[in-house]
Amino acid sequence: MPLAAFLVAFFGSLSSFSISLRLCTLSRLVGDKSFCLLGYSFITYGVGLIIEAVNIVGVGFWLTSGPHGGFGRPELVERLLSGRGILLATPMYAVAYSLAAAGIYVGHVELRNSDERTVARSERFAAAALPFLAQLYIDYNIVLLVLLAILATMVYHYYRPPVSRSIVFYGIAASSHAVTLLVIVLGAHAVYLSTLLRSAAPLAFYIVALRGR
Amino acid sequence: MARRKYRSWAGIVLDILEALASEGPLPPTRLMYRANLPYNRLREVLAKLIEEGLVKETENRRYEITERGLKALQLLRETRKLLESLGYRF
Repeated sequence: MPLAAFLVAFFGSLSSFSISLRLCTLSRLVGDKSFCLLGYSFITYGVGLIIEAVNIVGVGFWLTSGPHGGFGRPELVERLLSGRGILLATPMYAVAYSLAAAGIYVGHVELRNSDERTVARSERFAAAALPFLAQLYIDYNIVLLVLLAILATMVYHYYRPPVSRSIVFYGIAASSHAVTLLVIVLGAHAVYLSTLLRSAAPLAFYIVALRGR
Repeated sequence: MARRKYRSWAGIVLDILEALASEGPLPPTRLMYRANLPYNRLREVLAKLIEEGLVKETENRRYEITERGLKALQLLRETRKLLESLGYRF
Protein backbone atom coordinates (compact mmCIF):
# COMPACT_ATOMS: atom_id res chain seq x y z
CA MET A 1 0.00 0.00 0.00
CA PRO A 2 2.70 2.60 0.85
CA LEU A 3 4.64 1.78 -2.32
CA ALA A 4 1.52 2.05 -4.46
CA ALA A 5 0.66 5.37 -2.82
CA PHE A 6 4.19 6.66 -3.43
CA LEU A 7 4.19 5.64 -7.09
CA VAL A 8 0.77 7.07 -7.81
CA ALA A 9 1.65 10.28 -5.93
CA PHE A 10 4.90 10.61 -7.87
CA PHE A 11 3.28 10.14 -11.26
CA GLY A 12 0.30 12.20 -10.19
CA SER A 13 2.64 15.10 -9.42
CA LEU A 14 4.35 14.73 -12.81
CA SER A 15 0.93 14.83 -14.47
CA SER A 16 0.04 17.95 -12.50
CA PHE A 17 3.23 19.71 -13.59
CA SER A 18 2.67 18.68 -17.20
CA ILE A 19 -0.91 19.97 -17.15
CA SER A 20 0.21 23.24 -15.58
CA LEU A 21 2.85 23.69 -18.28
CA ARG A 22 0.19 23.26 -20.96
CA LEU A 23 -2.14 25.73 -19.31
CA CYS A 24 0.54 28.37 -18.74
CA THR A 25 1.75 28.03 -22.35
CA LEU A 26 -1.82 28.44 -23.53
CA SER A 27 -2.25 31.46 -21.28
CA ARG A 28 0.80 33.09 -22.80
CA LEU A 29 -0.31 32.36 -26.36
CA VAL A 30 -3.95 33.35 -26.03
CA GLY A 31 -3.60 36.11 -23.45
CA ASP A 32 -6.14 34.65 -21.02
CA LYS A 33 -4.92 35.03 -17.43
CA SER A 34 -7.42 32.53 -16.06
CA PHE A 35 -5.51 29.67 -17.72
CA CYS A 36 -2.39 30.72 -15.89
CA LEU A 37 -4.21 30.73 -12.56
CA LEU A 38 -5.47 27.23 -13.29
CA GLY A 39 -1.92 26.28 -14.24
CA TYR A 40 -0.54 27.58 -10.95
CA SER A 41 -3.21 25.63 -9.10
CA PHE A 42 -1.94 22.42 -10.72
CA ILE A 43 1.64 23.33 -9.80
CA THR A 44 0.78 23.74 -6.13
CA TYR A 45 -1.31 20.57 -6.26
CA GLY A 46 1.71 18.74 -7.68
CA VAL A 47 3.96 20.16 -4.97
CA GLY A 48 1.53 18.85 -2.38
CA LEU A 49 1.70 15.39 -3.93
CA ILE A 50 5.50 15.52 -3.98
CA ILE A 51 5.54 16.36 -0.27
CA GLU A 52 3.27 13.39 0.42
CA ALA A 53 5.38 11.10 -1.75
CA VAL A 54 8.56 12.16 0.03
CA ASN A 55 6.89 11.58 3.34
CA ILE A 56 5.86 8.08 2.35
CA VAL A 57 9.35 6.92 1.43
CA GLY A 58 10.85 8.59 4.47
CA VAL A 59 13.60 10.21 2.46
CA GLY A 60 14.02 12.47 5.39
CA PHE A 61 16.10 9.80 7.04
CA TRP A 62 19.13 10.67 5.02
CA LEU A 63 18.51 14.38 5.45
CA THR A 64 19.23 14.16 9.17
CA SER A 65 22.52 12.35 8.78
CA GLY A 66 25.74 13.63 7.31
CA PRO A 67 27.34 17.05 7.55
CA HIS A 68 24.23 18.99 6.64
CA GLY A 69 22.26 17.90 9.72
CA GLY A 70 18.81 18.51 8.32
CA PHE A 71 19.85 21.64 6.40
CA GLY A 72 19.36 23.71 9.55
CA ARG A 73 15.68 22.79 9.79
CA PRO A 74 15.64 19.72 12.02
CA GLU A 75 12.03 20.31 13.10
CA LEU A 76 10.89 20.21 9.47
CA VAL A 77 12.75 16.98 8.86
CA GLU A 78 11.32 15.52 12.03
CA ARG A 79 7.78 16.24 10.77
CA LEU A 80 8.55 14.40 7.57
CA LEU A 81 10.00 11.47 9.43
CA SER A 82 7.10 11.18 11.85
CA GLY A 83 4.70 10.64 8.94
CA ARG A 84 3.01 14.00 9.32
CA GLY A 85 4.12 15.17 5.90
CA ILE A 86 0.50 15.24 4.84
CA LEU A 87 -0.02 18.16 7.20
CA LEU A 88 2.71 20.04 5.38
CA ALA A 89 0.98 19.23 2.10
CA THR A 90 -2.51 20.41 3.06
CA PRO A 91 -1.74 24.15 2.69
CA MET A 92 -0.66 23.37 -0.87
CA TYR A 93 -4.08 21.90 -1.62
CA ALA A 94 -5.80 24.90 -0.04
CA VAL A 95 -3.80 27.22 -2.26
CA ALA A 96 -4.41 24.99 -5.29
CA TYR A 97 -8.20 24.98 -4.85
CA SER A 98 -8.20 28.73 -4.18
CA LEU A 99 -6.17 29.43 -7.31
CA ALA A 100 -8.47 27.22 -9.35
CA ALA A 101 -11.50 29.09 -7.99
CA ALA A 102 -9.87 32.42 -8.83
CA GLY A 103 -9.01 31.17 -12.30
CA ILE A 104 -12.57 30.05 -12.97
CA TYR A 105 -13.99 33.33 -11.67
CA VAL A 106 -11.65 35.40 -13.84
CA GLY A 107 -12.22 33.18 -16.85
CA HIS A 108 -15.99 33.37 -16.86
CA VAL A 109 -16.07 37.15 -17.23
CA GLU A 110 -16.22 37.95 -20.91
CA LEU A 111 -14.78 41.14 -22.26
CA ARG A 112 -17.67 43.55 -22.66
CA ASN A 113 -18.06 46.21 -25.34
CA SER A 114 -15.48 48.94 -24.67
CA ASP A 115 -15.79 48.30 -20.98
CA GLU A 116 -12.94 46.53 -19.27
CA ARG A 117 -14.10 47.59 -15.81
CA THR A 118 -15.88 44.29 -15.27
CA VAL A 119 -12.78 42.29 -16.14
CA ALA A 120 -10.58 44.55 -14.02
CA ARG A 121 -12.99 44.21 -11.08
CA SER A 122 -12.95 40.43 -11.19
CA GLU A 123 -9.16 40.39 -11.44
CA ARG A 124 -8.90 42.66 -8.42
CA PHE A 125 -11.27 40.36 -6.55
CA ALA A 126 -9.14 37.35 -7.39
CA ALA A 127 -5.95 39.18 -6.40
CA ALA A 128 -7.49 40.33 -3.11
CA ALA A 129 -8.91 36.92 -2.22
CA LEU A 130 -5.80 34.90 -2.90
CA PRO A 131 -3.57 36.25 -0.10
CA PHE A 132 -6.37 35.79 2.40
CA LEU A 133 -7.00 32.24 1.31
CA ALA A 134 -3.29 31.48 1.10
CA GLN A 135 -2.88 32.52 4.72
CA LEU A 136 -5.00 29.65 5.92
CA TYR A 137 -2.61 27.17 7.53
CA ILE A 138 -4.78 24.16 7.34
CA ASP A 139 -4.42 21.01 9.32
CA TYR A 140 -8.04 19.98 9.04
CA ASN A 141 -9.28 18.29 5.89
CA ILE A 142 -12.80 19.40 6.58
CA VAL A 143 -11.75 22.96 5.71
CA LEU A 144 -10.37 21.66 2.42
CA LEU A 145 -13.68 19.95 1.80
CA VAL A 146 -15.45 23.27 2.31
CA LEU A 147 -13.09 25.00 -0.14
CA LEU A 148 -13.62 22.23 -2.64
CA ALA A 149 -17.39 22.50 -2.22
CA ILE A 150 -17.15 26.27 -2.90
CA LEU A 151 -15.04 25.60 -5.98
CA ALA A 152 -17.45 22.97 -7.31
CA THR A 153 -20.40 25.28 -6.64
CA MET A 154 -18.73 28.12 -8.55
CA VAL A 155 -18.06 25.83 -11.48
CA TYR A 156 -21.66 24.65 -11.60
CA HIS A 157 -23.03 28.17 -11.10
CA TYR A 158 -21.04 29.75 -13.92
CA TYR A 159 -20.76 26.96 -16.43
CA ARG A 160 -23.44 24.32 -15.74
CA PRO A 161 -21.08 21.63 -17.03
CA PRO A 162 -22.06 18.05 -17.71
CA VAL A 163 -22.13 16.56 -14.22
CA SER A 164 -20.67 13.24 -15.27
CA ARG A 165 -17.49 14.90 -16.51
CA SER A 166 -16.59 17.72 -14.19
CA ILE A 167 -17.81 16.09 -10.99
CA VAL A 168 -15.20 13.35 -11.41
CA PHE A 169 -12.29 15.60 -10.44
CA TYR A 170 -14.10 17.28 -7.56
CA GLY A 171 -15.59 13.97 -6.39
CA ILE A 172 -12.20 12.26 -6.35
CA ALA A 173 -10.50 15.16 -4.59
CA ALA A 174 -13.31 15.49 -2.04
CA SER A 175 -13.27 11.76 -1.30
CA SER A 176 -9.50 11.92 -0.78
CA HIS A 177 -9.99 14.45 2.01
CA ALA A 178 -13.07 12.73 3.40
CA VAL A 179 -11.16 9.45 3.71
CA THR A 180 -8.53 11.15 5.86
CA LEU A 181 -11.25 12.04 8.34
CA LEU A 182 -11.78 8.30 8.82
CA VAL A 183 -8.22 7.81 10.05
CA ILE A 184 -9.54 6.94 13.50
CA VAL A 185 -11.36 3.94 12.02
CA LEU A 186 -9.07 2.97 9.17
CA GLY A 187 -5.74 3.85 10.75
CA ALA A 188 -2.68 4.58 8.63
CA HIS A 189 -4.36 3.03 5.59
CA ALA A 190 -6.64 6.04 5.43
CA VAL A 191 -3.63 8.29 4.83
CA TYR A 192 -2.30 6.13 2.01
CA LEU A 193 -5.74 5.78 0.46
CA SER A 194 -6.17 9.53 0.67
CA THR A 195 -2.89 10.07 -1.17
CA LEU A 196 -3.88 7.51 -3.81
CA LEU A 197 -7.19 9.24 -4.48
CA ARG A 198 -5.65 12.70 -4.55
CA SER A 199 -2.99 11.56 -7.02
CA ALA A 200 -5.51 9.82 -9.25
CA ALA A 201 -7.25 13.08 -10.16
CA PRO A 202 -4.39 14.74 -12.11
CA LEU A 203 -3.42 11.39 -13.63
CA ALA A 204 -6.94 11.04 -14.97
CA PHE A 205 -6.78 14.54 -16.40
CA TYR A 206 -3.45 13.85 -18.04
CA ILE A 207 -4.96 10.85 -19.77
CA VAL A 208 -7.88 13.00 -20.88
CA ALA A 209 -5.42 15.58 -22.22
CA LEU A 210 -3.50 12.92 -24.16
CA ARG A 211 -6.73 11.61 -25.65
CA GLY A 212 -7.59 15.15 -26.72
CA ARG A 213 -4.80 15.15 -29.32
CA MET B 1 -35.66 35.27 -16.09
CA ALA B 2 -33.32 33.01 -18.10
CA ARG B 3 -29.67 33.39 -17.24
CA ARG B 4 -27.53 34.64 -20.12
CA LYS B 5 -24.66 32.36 -20.97
CA TYR B 6 -21.51 34.15 -22.07
CA ARG B 7 -18.90 32.59 -24.34
CA SER B 8 -15.53 32.63 -22.66
CA TRP B 9 -12.60 34.56 -24.10
CA ALA B 10 -10.97 31.25 -25.02
CA GLY B 11 -14.12 30.18 -26.85
CA ILE B 12 -14.17 33.37 -28.91
CA VAL B 13 -10.47 33.03 -29.76
CA LEU B 14 -10.99 29.40 -30.72
CA ASP B 15 -13.89 30.25 -33.05
CA ILE B 16 -11.94 33.03 -34.77
CA LEU B 17 -8.74 31.02 -35.18
CA GLU B 18 -10.66 28.01 -36.48
CA ALA B 19 -12.45 30.19 -39.01
CA LEU B 20 -9.15 31.67 -40.24
CA ALA B 21 -7.37 28.32 -40.26
CA SER B 22 -10.11 26.60 -42.25
CA GLU B 23 -11.01 29.35 -44.73
CA GLY B 24 -7.77 31.31 -45.04
CA PRO B 25 -7.60 35.14 -44.89
CA LEU B 26 -11.06 36.58 -44.30
CA PRO B 27 -12.55 40.07 -44.47
CA PRO B 28 -14.02 41.44 -41.22
CA THR B 29 -17.64 40.95 -42.32
CA ARG B 30 -17.20 37.29 -43.14
CA LEU B 31 -15.26 36.76 -39.91
CA MET B 32 -18.01 38.47 -37.97
CA TYR B 33 -20.58 35.90 -39.15
CA ARG B 34 -18.25 32.95 -38.72
CA ALA B 35 -17.33 33.93 -35.18
CA ASN B 36 -20.87 35.09 -34.37
CA LEU B 37 -19.76 38.41 -32.93
CA PRO B 38 -21.03 41.96 -33.36
CA TYR B 39 -18.68 44.12 -35.42
CA ASN B 40 -17.38 46.43 -32.69
CA ARG B 41 -16.74 43.43 -30.42
CA LEU B 42 -14.91 41.66 -33.25
CA ARG B 43 -12.67 44.70 -33.71
CA GLU B 44 -11.74 44.66 -30.04
CA VAL B 45 -10.96 40.96 -30.10
CA LEU B 46 -8.96 41.19 -33.33
CA ALA B 47 -6.94 44.09 -31.91
CA LYS B 48 -6.07 41.90 -28.94
CA LEU B 49 -5.21 38.92 -31.14
CA ILE B 50 -2.98 41.08 -33.36
CA GLU B 51 -1.27 42.40 -30.25
CA GLU B 52 -0.68 38.80 -29.10
CA GLY B 53 0.67 37.89 -32.53
CA LEU B 54 -1.96 35.26 -33.29
CA VAL B 55 -3.52 37.12 -36.21
CA LYS B 56 -2.24 39.69 -38.68
CA GLU B 57 -3.92 42.11 -41.04
CA THR B 58 -3.08 41.73 -44.72
CA GLU B 59 -2.65 44.48 -47.31
CA ASN B 60 -6.20 44.06 -48.68
CA ARG B 61 -7.77 44.50 -45.22
CA ARG B 62 -8.26 40.83 -44.52
CA TYR B 63 -7.22 38.96 -41.42
CA GLU B 64 -4.89 35.99 -41.52
CA ILE B 65 -3.77 33.51 -38.89
CA THR B 66 -0.05 33.49 -38.04
CA GLU B 67 2.26 30.61 -37.15
CA ARG B 68 1.88 31.50 -33.50
CA GLY B 69 -1.88 31.51 -34.02
CA LEU B 70 -1.77 28.01 -35.50
CA LYS B 71 0.21 26.85 -32.50
CA ALA B 72 -2.32 28.44 -30.15
CA LEU B 73 -5.18 26.82 -32.08
CA GLN B 74 -3.63 23.39 -31.78
CA LEU B 75 -3.03 23.84 -28.07
CA LEU B 76 -6.57 25.14 -27.55
CA ARG B 77 -8.01 22.10 -29.28
CA GLU B 78 -5.85 19.74 -27.23
CA THR B 79 -6.63 21.29 -23.86
CA ARG B 80 -10.31 21.90 -24.58
CA LYS B 81 -11.31 18.47 -23.32
CA LEU B 82 -9.15 18.86 -20.25
CA LEU B 83 -10.61 22.25 -19.39
CA GLU B 84 -14.18 21.08 -19.98
CA SER B 85 -13.49 18.29 -17.52
CA LEU B 86 -12.66 20.95 -14.96
CA GLY B 87 -16.01 22.54 -15.70
CA TYR B 88 -14.54 25.33 -17.81
CA ARG B 89 -17.02 26.10 -20.56
CA PHE B 90 -15.77 27.28 -23.93
